[in-house]
Amino acid sequence: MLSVEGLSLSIRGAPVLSEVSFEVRPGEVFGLVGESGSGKSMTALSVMRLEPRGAEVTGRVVFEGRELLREPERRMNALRGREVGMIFQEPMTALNPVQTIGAQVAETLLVHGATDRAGARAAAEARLARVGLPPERCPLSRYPHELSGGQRQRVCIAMAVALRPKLLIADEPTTALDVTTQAQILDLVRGLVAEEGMSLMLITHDLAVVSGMADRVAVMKDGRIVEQDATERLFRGRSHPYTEKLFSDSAHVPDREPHIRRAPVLEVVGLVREYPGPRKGLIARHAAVRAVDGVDLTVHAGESVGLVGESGCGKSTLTRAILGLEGLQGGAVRLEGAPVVAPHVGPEVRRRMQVVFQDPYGSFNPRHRVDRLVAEPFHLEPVPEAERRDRVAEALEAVGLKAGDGARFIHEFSGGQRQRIAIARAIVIRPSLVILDEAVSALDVSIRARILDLLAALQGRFRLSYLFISHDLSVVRAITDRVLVMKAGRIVEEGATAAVFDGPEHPYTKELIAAVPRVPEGWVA
Amino acid sequence: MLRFFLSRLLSLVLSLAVASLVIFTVIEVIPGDPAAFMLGLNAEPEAVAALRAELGLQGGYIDRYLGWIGGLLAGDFGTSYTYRVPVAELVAARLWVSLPLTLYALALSTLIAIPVGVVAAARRGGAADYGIMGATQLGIAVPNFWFAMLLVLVFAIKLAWFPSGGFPGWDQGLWPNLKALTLPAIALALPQASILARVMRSSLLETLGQDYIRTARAKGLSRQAAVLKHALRNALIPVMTILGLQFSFLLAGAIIIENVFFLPGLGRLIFQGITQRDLIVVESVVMLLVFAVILVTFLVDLAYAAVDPRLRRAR
Repeated sequence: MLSVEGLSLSIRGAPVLSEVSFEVRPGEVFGLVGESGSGKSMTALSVMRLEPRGAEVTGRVVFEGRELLREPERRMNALRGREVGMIFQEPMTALNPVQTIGAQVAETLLVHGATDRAGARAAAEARLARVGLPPERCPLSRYPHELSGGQRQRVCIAMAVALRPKLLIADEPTTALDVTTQAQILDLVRGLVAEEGMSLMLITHDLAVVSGMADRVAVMKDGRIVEQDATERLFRGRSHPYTEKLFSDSAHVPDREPHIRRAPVLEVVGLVREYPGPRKGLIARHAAVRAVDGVDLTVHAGESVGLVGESGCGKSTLTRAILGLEGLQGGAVRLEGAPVVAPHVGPEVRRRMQVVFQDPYGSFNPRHRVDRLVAEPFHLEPVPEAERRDRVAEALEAVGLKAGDGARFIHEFSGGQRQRIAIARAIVIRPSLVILDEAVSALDVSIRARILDLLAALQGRFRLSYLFISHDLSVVRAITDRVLVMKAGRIVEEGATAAVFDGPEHPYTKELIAAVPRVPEGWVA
Repeated sequence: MLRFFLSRLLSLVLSLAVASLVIFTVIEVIPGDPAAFMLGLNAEPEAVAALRAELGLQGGYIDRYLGWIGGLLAGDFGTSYTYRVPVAELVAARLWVSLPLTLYALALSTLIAIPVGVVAAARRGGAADYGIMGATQLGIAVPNFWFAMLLVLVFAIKLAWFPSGGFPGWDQGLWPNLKALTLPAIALALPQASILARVMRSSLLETLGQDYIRTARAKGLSRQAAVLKHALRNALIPVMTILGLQFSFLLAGAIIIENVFFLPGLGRLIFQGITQRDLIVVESVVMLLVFAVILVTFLVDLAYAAVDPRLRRAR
């Protein structure tokens, strides 16, 4: 039904796609896998003819006998939404914030003149109900900001399938969602595709997701398809070295020899963090919201502790409280015996605790050179200028960069290198504890594997303890000794990592672990 | 929504109270005798004392403040020292010129700026965009009084389509007055429209890069429909902010244009009040302008909420 032949795309002379060829057959789920920048999304946008301005596209895109690259814009408008639907990665921003969800779903029908206003409204209601948003629970008059991420993605799906298109293109539809929500959305898409007899082109970086969804898979790298085959055959064979590398990297477990000592580095006892409730009237407030509700947590010297939970469970609030950035309503935080009390945490305490965040770029001042960025923590500790320089160079080399890189600016580095610089900044002052707040979540699998190796090596060399906060269970499993599962502000389960993952006890942990997509056992061997 | 309205209203009342206190303090409490100031250096002490009595400067600060506020609320602004007429009458007469002029200029500026900004954004990098950006640059740079004189030369003297100045008064009917206000309104609107068009363009460009525009295109909307149905409303918020600021500026900031066209507006009244040291007039007109600014801010807040549902919660 869709056949792409020799599709190439370049933006101002720079090649983005070269000679991409594949086929999506009627009723089939076709997976397109690759790392960021490999050209997956650009392929989808070229099929829709929504490529960015200034892009030059050559080749053939044939949909149901029509050559799309030659179609006039007016006929493409009639095709988009009616015959080909598309859903995107970011449900938070994919909906217009100032229109109700009902209006946005109905618009798909109205813009194609499929029905009148009343008919479109009724159809929107039916489609929203089908994607799990029945009007009694989620009226059409809701605005996007009143919905959760998963609910918004359901709205996007309802919008894309409102006219029962023959082909649905889903570009990383679950990447921004929690693991349990991801499982529900994938189920929904799978059900819809089967029910309507649609074809699905699923774009993802996640091999496990594609293994559970696709009939056939293509692997993309640097704008080319390096391998494509039926899913099981491709997964078992892995004939192309890049495919093999993707597999090994995504399941990568770094070599670690933990030397856990008895002494606790971080002790959190009965921590409570509340926020004032929303206002009822002009002065009265609703009851306070308890974001963290009596959490106990200990990290021993040399230990890696994981803290997992879904968005909104209180992980970030807990992190901020541990760092002494927010006052507590109960409990205490101690770092090597010294109390951490917001808002005035002394440099002597603060220098023993450093943090690495998810988005390294956002946490660097773009106008400072890297050596100055890495030297930032020295304001906590008076160190002579010469020693500072040596230690910055040492830290840069420890994270796999060159000492000379200190003279460059942060925008000259790739995402993985930036995260290395963030780690260099965290270790330059020789802390006891490093808090890694979703520190590898935004990275591609191959870069993630190298960063995990780096973290494991640094732990031994600098005798660090890690508190690893993440929603990504596979990463936590790979790098931690002990894990805590958080839900609605409480720790619901705690134990040795392997024990918790192999035999979860709390129903929530079971649900969480069951929701993680997996490549079928036999395929990987 | 009601709660949002009430909370905005409360903030309006509080702002007014604070503003009135500041104005009162600056003019009447801070050392320096207003009566002596108004009469100048060579005044007889008896005259100063008489003026003090006339201005009601004898009581305590609190009594005087409350008296002033009470008067304002009842529409009694006091009596102008130089004109010897109630300030309320003076202001009302001037407001009948300034308010229509302001609204006229704003309407022109909006009607020009929004389409022009939309076209520039939609044709980004094209000839229309460059042309519009150049023209608006010029519109900001050219002083409006110079432009006003140019308008007079062409449209009043050469073509004689509009009068070159003066204001007939509303008892002469709508049309002559509208004609009298047209050239000043154009002169005022030009720089405002230039600024507004640039804000509209950049705001729309930012909105056009948003994910939901891509979603709209994927639904089958044409580029134009996506701009009009999805981008425009989201792009209006910064435009409304500028519009609110421009209203406040135009209401009293048109002094030069009022002078060029001999219009008896608020700007000239406050200018005359200051040069003639008529503090009663200055105090009342400043309070009135503050009220106008705060009221417009309030209206802009309500407009924000009308446009963007996320802002409808009470803060």
